[in-house]
Amino acid sequence: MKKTLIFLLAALLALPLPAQSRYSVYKTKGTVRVCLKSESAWTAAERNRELQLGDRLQLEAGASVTIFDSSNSLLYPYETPGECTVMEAVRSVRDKAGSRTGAVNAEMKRSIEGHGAAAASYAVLGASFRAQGGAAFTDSLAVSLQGLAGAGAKNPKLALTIVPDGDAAVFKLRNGADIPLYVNILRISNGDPTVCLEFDGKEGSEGILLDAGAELVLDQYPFVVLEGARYLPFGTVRCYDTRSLQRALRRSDKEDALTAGFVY
Amino acid sequence: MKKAPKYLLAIVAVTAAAFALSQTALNRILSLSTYSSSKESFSFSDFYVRTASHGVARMSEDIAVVDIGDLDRAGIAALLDALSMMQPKAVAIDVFFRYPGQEGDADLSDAVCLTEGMVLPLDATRPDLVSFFYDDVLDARFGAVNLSAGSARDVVRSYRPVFDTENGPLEAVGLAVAEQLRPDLAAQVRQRGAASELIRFDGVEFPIFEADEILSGEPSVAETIRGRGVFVGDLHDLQDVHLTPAEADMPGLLIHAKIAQTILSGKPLRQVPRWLVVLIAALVCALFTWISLLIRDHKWGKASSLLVRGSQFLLMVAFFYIGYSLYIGPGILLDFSLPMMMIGLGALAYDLMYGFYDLFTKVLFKKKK
Repeated sequence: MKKTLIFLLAALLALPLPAQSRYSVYKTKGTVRVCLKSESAWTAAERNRELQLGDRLQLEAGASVTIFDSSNSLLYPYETPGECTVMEAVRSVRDKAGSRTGAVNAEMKRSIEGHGAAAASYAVLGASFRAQGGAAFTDSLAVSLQGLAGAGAKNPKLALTIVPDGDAAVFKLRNGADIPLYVNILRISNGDPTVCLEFDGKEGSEGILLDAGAELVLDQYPFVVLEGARYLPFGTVRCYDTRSLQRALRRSDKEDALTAGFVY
Repeated sequence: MKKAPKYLLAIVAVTAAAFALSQTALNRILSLSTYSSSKESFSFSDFYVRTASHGVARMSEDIAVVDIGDLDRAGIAALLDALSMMQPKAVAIDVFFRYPGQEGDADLSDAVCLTEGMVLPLDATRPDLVSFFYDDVLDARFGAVNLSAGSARDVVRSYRPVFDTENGPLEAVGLAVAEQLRPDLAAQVRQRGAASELIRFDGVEFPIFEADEILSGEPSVAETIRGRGVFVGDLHDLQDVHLTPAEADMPGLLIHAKIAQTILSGKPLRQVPRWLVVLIAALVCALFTWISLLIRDHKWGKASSLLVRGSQFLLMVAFFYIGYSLYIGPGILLDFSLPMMMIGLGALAYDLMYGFYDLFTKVLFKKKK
């Protein structure tokens, strides 16, 4: 009896748990191989193959692999030859994008200081900003989201263009407001809003700063246009933690999240 | 006594090996977080705060919080008027109104000017970013609302009491409020002159009022507000929530209130310096090694292993209990990660050392034979 119980317990523990990964192979160039975390055999990286963060990638010289992140449709093109884990590859691409955003932000800040316009706050502040610059952004965002099925209400101040880039796309944003804004994009698919650009805590962690009247192509964040999804730009006068918004969107108080505080 | 030099040598060797192993292990743990912004974003000491946050909390007798919800400017002006009638000692408003041109501007400006003990927010890095009515205000104090975080993703654990700005020194808003309630305690903070002080997040809760409760002028609410420092702001602004050791999304308004409460408690949190942590860890590990050697030499057979593991577990529990008591009592923050690691890895170092020793002696003994 005891042996049977131990056997059953061991069998239960040995059962593979179904884990759905947010990462998969989007495309490859040259020889790219994958080795699952728990195995030692290398196999060719095929398109749409699911990847776990602990899986290993092997790239020959001149090869590249683009990893797809289904949580936000972003693509992570990685082309360093040699071996690494999926986590290292994703982190490396995100770090590079962050550095690029950091450099663009620094340039944008210089420009803002140069013309002496009312600037966004670059510091982490424990305070709120109320109804600056006229109409609340909240209203346009809430209207857009409530009328998902209907005709899209556009944000009058932030213009978003999706620019095709090979088999992917990149965002182009124009800040039509009269003050600098930290900008981001909401992807709304099947009624579920997701923050497209989440920023890591290194360079560029404050988000993307866009001066009044400025236009920016975010080619450091290539993505796949999701069929049937809508993309809604939004801006804030200060940097904030995108994860807080993402968490609130996942919770049941979705409407509160969307109508709370995002004003310019 | 004959064994003393042998014991001493073994204790030093095991402690040194445990220290080396623990450094490697700790660095590995800190690098595991996929997207952590920095090593500073993770601290083992947060565990004390987290644990204590779930314990019993008393209600603050000094501070109250008022949520403005979605009131417009005229509504906020009415709220400030109603608050003034309740005679708080200080009112800190944690909201910027940068641009004029909306209904209620004049009312708001008047209400701010007429509220006694008003503290208005400023960004210490950009003192030019002000609310539209700041030029009209004659009698208010200003306080910095900057949080001690490099990026929006960093954990806020401490605050900076005084900022150097181009217009001179600027106090943190929490200190400015505490100053009006207990000038002696605020003076102590200034006297210490620390660049940053730790915030106590546990132990005290605040009475939180909705705007309607203030506007209704309920006598019980007025009674609670009288003589307190009141923080007025938006508790539901997603741009103003921050990571803290106590919770993931804490409104900035509450963080300022916690800062004021930490000052008003008169018991600043103190972090044990790193060198002292290393020394304590080494002593605890040495104690564990000594106990292990005593048990080993008594030759209790199979019970020896059990006794060694038992003493290891007891030492770990005792250390955590002492650390937690120091945090809850005198407010001393002792990073438990290194001592815990060293006790844990001390057993490994001990086993490795004696394993190799036994192996070599057996090989040598065989050769001699």
